[in-house]
Amino acid sequence: MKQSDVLDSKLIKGMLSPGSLDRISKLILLREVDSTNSLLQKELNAGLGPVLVCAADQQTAGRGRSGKIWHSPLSKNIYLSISWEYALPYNKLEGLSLAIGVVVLDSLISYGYPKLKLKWPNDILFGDAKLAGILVEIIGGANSSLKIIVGVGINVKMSAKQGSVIERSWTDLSSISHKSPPSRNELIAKLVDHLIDLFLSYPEKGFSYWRDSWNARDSFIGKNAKIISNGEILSGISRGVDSKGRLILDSSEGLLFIAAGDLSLRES
Amino acid sequence: MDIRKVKKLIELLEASDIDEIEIKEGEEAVRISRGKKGSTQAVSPVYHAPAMTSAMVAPADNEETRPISEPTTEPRNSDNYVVKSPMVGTFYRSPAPNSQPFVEVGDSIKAGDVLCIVEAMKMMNQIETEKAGTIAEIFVENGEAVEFDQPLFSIA
Repeated sequence: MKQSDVLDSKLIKGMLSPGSLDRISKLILLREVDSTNSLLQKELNAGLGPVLVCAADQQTAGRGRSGKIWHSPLSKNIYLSISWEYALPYNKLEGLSLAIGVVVLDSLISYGYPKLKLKWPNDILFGDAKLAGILVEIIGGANSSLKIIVGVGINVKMSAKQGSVIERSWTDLSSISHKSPPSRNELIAKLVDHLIDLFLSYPEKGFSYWRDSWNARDSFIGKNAKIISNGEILSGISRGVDSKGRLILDSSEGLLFIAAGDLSLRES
Repeated sequence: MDIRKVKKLIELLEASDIDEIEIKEGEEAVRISRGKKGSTQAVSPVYHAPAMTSAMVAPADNEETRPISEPTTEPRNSDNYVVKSPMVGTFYRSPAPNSQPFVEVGDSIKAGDVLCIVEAMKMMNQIETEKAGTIAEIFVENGEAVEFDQPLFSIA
């Protein structure tokens, strides 16, 4: 690994905006961790926070939604988590997971990767290959403040052998452009800055501010889609998302607005 | 009339032997009677079709004579603390499909323990209890859709 690719807190802090630096209570960089999200949860439970950042070279138990594995070999990939706290009810955060998708995608596009699209709610695709995934975990009671942990996994450079265990089609930044990918330190600083900006502005703006941006990046808009929701198959034409971030499916039963369920989406 | 008031009335009705309650407040009135078995269809949540979700709430405000059938998910013992869903989503009892549930009936829990996950749009919300006690009832099956404010657990 080149020197510039080694995770380095001095380099990252040097590239963070002063506003972000002020807010971050702890930046944790690790060679190996079970899961960056799990680590931040332990730190939050220990009373640290509210704004923590963790990145690692390798995750031994990287997670996606519903216990799915996020394959995280020792590589130049990004395994990053950031925590935040809101003294707000859940409904104020409706759609946040989709807005995070837009922010991460745009951070990558700023390096000249133009053909990236979103798959509801926030997978980042190149063609139909998955490039990045986001897992948002929220901890709280009905009346307490909400702690949020956002995990971002981006395939930057992973060998075919390392990725061979991934069941779905995947790609990485180094395969989709002739340019070398940005250094991880730079990309982490950019993502953290942009996510903190989003966390600060989201309660006031809400998802309605992000809706058009999300729809403009939707890989499925206008296409036939199938959604498997708790064993039930719903199909229709994908119409993007509504102002709450719900997927709109134009089905034979009329418009369906899908907020929940065990979903997968594919062209039919 | 406030939907919470209507819910409270339903709870009152349930905890009593009364078959029907009618309340008038100014020009508004609501009558709640115990529904016949089989009539629960009217209030069963349809999570992917919000048009029906809002229709579900409508009788409480507009239709004074329409009976609201007894929800099957209301707690049996009204003294118990009820943990409700803070959002529309999918209810998960364990962190991953093959792992152990966070809690079972009879488990003693302390404030801050995670009871379940409710997922909405890939936001995994770990629902904590604010009260210590013992899990008395679990109202929802793993993987089921839940509505806002739907009872999930009761804690004795």
